[in-house]
Amino acid sequence: MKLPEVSTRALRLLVLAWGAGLLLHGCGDGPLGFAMRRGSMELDLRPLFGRPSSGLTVVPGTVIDSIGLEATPQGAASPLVFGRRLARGDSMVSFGVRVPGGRTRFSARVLSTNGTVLFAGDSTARIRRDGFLVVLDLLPRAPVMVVAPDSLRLVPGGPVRTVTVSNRGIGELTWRIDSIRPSPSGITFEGMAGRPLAARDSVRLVFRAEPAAVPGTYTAFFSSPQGSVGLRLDVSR
Amino acid sequence: MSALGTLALLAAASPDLGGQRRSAGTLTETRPLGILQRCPQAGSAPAAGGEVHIRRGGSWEPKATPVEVLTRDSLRVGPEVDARLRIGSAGRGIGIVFLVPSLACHPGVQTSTVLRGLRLRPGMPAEYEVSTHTVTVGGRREERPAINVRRGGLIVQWGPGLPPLLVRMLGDTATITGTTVAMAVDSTGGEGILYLEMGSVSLSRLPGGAVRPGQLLHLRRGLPHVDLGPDAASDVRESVRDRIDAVWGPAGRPTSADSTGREVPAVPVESGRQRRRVRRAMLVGLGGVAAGFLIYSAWLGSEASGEESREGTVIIRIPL
Repeated sequence: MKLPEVSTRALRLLVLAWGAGLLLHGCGDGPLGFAMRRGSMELDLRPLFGRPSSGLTVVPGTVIDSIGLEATPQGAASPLVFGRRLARGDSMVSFGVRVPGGRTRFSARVLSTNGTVLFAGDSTARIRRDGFLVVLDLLPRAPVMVVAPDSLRLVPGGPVRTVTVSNRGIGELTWRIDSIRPSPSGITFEGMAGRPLAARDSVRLVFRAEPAAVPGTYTAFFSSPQGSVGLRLDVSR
Repeated sequence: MSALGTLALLAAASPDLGGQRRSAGTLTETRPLGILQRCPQAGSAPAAGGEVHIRRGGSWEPKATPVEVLTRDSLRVGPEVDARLRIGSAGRGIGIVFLVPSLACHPGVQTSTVLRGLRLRPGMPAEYEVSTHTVTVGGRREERPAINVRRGGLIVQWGPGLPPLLVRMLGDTATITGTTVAMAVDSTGGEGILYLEMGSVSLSRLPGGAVRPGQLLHLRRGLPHVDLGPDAASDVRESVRDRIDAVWGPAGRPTSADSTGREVPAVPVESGRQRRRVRRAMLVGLGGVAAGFLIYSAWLGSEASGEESREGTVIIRIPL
């Protein structure tokens, strides 16, 4: 089973990174007791999402659109607000910030393509020196549709390709495949498309290009109340 | 200007990158702010090396006012002064742009809590680029002034008879056609606010395009704009009014131009109650000159910060 293997690799990388940070910079500020004297650290876990398949790097498509961070120093009337769009597969984001010394509350929200709050979390840290590091772990607040991989290469009359739709959030995910465009595509799919998914549940679909399928690039649109995901389908002989 | 019209106008706009440099205006004067260190969030102000610098293709050169500004000139204004940029002519009208490096902090003026919350940092020079845009409206090509704000503050008085002024910031473009606006951005350069008191401002990335009078928007690079509500809007308005009065006094009031191009007050200004009445009437309905304040501060770089300000990193983990 691949999932535990992926988790182990992720944990190993995290432990190594945090350990290096501790050795180099010592303990200090931050809710977890970690501090860095200067610079920032950013981990990219995208490679841990899956294995290379069909010659394509496995990057999931998600309904995630953007992230917002608010830093509210104690006694401040209004927060400092930061934000950015997220790339596909981003599971860790770093912001360089400048705040007054003292206690500051950090809160972050991840929004979907239609503005739904998908993940949120907050933490309060006492800021004493430059180079502080605050780690904010978010928790899911809604169902989160993830389609992996985010693209497939199909050969007319060739073998099927598998796509996994999963719910990485909380609650029940309702979803469906709206369409494959442009139409007609000559692409068909099988599986329990549209089956409601509980938290951490997933379903596999297989896609194939019929022998008469016209080579080109198509998109299968997966929709849910929290937003939509496009699965790129490249048909070539 | 309708939203559709604005979008079409911006889509048709193209920067004037080639050709000969032309006069874009005149930096007429500078005004000292006073002692910046009295501001609550003022840091150790770096040496600005002069009040106004202009880069015209090569290196920055100090300039004494008045000085003519050409298209594609970059302007740098020291943190302890405001500078006054005059755009236009007697025939087409006069627009005034105040270049305001230290907008969020001014001695003797109660700084807006919103501006302070956005943590604008005094003590840094501001940088701007002036240019023109050629736009096609109804098949006819028109040239319009444009200002790109890299960092610093901007206060604009723009008459309704002038061609629209384009101000670019945070990946968005504001089209100003005679208005009262306030705008500011936090120290990372990715956040800001826009306040509209009266008149017309269009934002290219705002749904619907037009900002409502009395509206205070939170601008975020790459994210939707957010309405901050009337209380915060009032806070910003008072701060901006007090500040422009304190620094510029009568020179901060809207002006027009006589037949020789000489600036004259749009309305005769007296003192006391009469002055207030005249100013109110001027703002409400005379229509000779609409007043506009456009304030924008984008603090970038890694120069010295205040003693209490700390720089660090926030890492956010998303449990996908």
